[in-house]
Amino acid sequence: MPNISVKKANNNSVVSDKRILIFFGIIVLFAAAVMIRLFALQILEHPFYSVMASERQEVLKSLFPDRGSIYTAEKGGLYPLVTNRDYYLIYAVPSAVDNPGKVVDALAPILELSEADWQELLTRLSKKDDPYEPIKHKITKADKEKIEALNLAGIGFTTETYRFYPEKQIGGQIFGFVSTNDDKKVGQYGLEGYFNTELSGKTGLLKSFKDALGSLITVGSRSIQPAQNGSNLVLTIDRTIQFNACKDLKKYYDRFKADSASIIVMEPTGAILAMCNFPDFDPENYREVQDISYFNNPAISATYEPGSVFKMITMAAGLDTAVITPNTTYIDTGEVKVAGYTIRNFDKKARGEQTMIQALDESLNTGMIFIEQKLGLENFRTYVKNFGFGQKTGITLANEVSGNVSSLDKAGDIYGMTASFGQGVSVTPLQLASAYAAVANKGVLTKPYIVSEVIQLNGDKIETKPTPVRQVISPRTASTLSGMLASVVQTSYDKKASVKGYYLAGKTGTAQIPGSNGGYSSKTNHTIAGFGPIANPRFVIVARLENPKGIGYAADSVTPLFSQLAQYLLNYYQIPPDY
Amino acid sequence: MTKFLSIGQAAKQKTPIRRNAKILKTKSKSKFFNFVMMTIIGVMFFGYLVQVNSLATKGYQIKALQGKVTDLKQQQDDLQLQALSLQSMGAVQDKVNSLKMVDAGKSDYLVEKPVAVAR
Repeated sequence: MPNISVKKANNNSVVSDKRILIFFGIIVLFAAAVMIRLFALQILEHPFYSVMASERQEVLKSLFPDRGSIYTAEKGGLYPLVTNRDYYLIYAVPSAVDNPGKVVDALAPILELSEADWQELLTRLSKKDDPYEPIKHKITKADKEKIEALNLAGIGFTTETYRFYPEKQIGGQIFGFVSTNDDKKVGQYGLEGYFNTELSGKTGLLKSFKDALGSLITVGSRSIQPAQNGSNLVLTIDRTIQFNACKDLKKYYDRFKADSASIIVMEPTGAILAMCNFPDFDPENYREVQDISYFNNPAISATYEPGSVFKMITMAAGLDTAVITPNTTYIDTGEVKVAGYTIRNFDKKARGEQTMIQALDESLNTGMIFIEQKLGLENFRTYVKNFGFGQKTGITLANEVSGNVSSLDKAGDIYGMTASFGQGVSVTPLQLASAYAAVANKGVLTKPYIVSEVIQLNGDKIETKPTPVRQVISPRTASTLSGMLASVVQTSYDKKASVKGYYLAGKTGTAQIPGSNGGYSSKTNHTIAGFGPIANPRFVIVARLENPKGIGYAADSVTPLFSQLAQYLLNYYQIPPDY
Repeated sequence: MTKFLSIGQAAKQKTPIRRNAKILKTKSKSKFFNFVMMTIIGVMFFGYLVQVNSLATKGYQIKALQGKVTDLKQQQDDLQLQALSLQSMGAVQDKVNSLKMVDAGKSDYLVEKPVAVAR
């Protein structure tokens, strides 16, 4: 009996052992399956899941730099003429918008949507599978807060930076504008175009990891290449002079309904104090401009035949080469015939014996031809080019042109003769200003400049100082010529340019505009160029009206503008009178 | 012989007790050591958890503070831009017009003339 019970007991334990073994085997198999699966996921398919994880977790973000600002230097510090301002882009997530009609009705009055815009927005917000719809750019902070107060589901905002111009209508063409190409800001025209690289700075990069809510994980690995903000520019422009110059120019541009108008005020050593043109444009709203020619700066990119203002060049050349003196005489017969052409004085009158002073006072074409003939074409051409005509001045603004004096390279007396009184050659207002500045600067031509400093991110400043180009005429010639030009303003046709108590130098020019079919039309350009006070010149002014209506001569149109602005500058600089 | 045997037997009996006592002592010492080590490890692990968690929460605090800094910076920028607009020439001109100010007109200058004194 005991043997059976022992046997049973042994059998039971054997069975129990087997069950444990089987159970253990199942667990082992299960564990093996898990391990194989883990191996497959973590080792064999690691690259796939690694990429998937990095797509979900990794953040690769461009860090956009702040675009540099453009300043003017004033007594209290730097005043920004162009800076940056944050606006907002309002967008919708249509899939999260419950009631598109209600949302559009709420947004319409704030965003000032038209009927067509309202309908179009409603259509876009009704697309339930659409994850993103931009609604409007350049929303102000006030409007953003109004919309946020409405608590509309599915509506969000992103910050956008735009250029901001605190001063309106004082030189859109100097600044240019900033447009967006493929999400990249690009400066166009003016200073924004010329200094685009310096103003743009460098984009940075952030590489990090984000959590499920999209926030960056602080303890995670991170790599940052910081953005480098753009450099800042400081201009030579005087804000007050610029404002007044533009205001005065606008007055005459409107009064005479001119096709265009330009004015430049600069120091004799080259610093541009003011530069203004009409028609102008608002760089903040450049998209609204219909005619893209408005973006160009006519002061540096519009060439025209200057007329009698160019007589200063001829007189300077004659005096400097000593072929004439102020008292040299010639006989004015009222006309000169050459190569089948007849060149006459502006009033077709003959005045008999005239001195060089009188030739300039009376603006006699025959007198200038007399000087040019005595000089010879080669000498005359040399002086014209030495004064900077036919080449760019090198000012740091986009799209400057060089003008055209190539007629002086042609054989034939007619070319030199017509050029001597400013026809047959084309120049820019800045070239004229630069030439007159040379006379004011004791005969030294300097390079005009509008940027006095470039301030880099690290605080380093690249300064621009007055740069002499060449001694065009001797200081003695410059002094004599200044006196002759003062005589023009004090005693002759250009009297309206004078300011009582001061000796100002100046010359006007009324030049015919070439017609489309060759020859000249009845339209004219009116120009005045001058500087003062002649004893110690502080400013040079060039003003031009293209095709002014209802007025015949520059001596009547632009001279009061010159006088007004000169009076302002003399007061502004507190210059005591000469007499 | 028996005497030595009995002494030998007694010694044998004595030795296991001493050995056991030593073994017991060693065992208890190592138990204590293990306990201390485990406690230290536990504390350090807990400390690490607290530190990591604190860092992670600090990240959110930093983000919130950065948001505040951004808001304040934006407020400052807005105020500066408002100040610029008020200082613009156009705004000043409007103020001048509204105050009905007039041009100063002609200015008289006092010019220092050189003085010569004769002996």
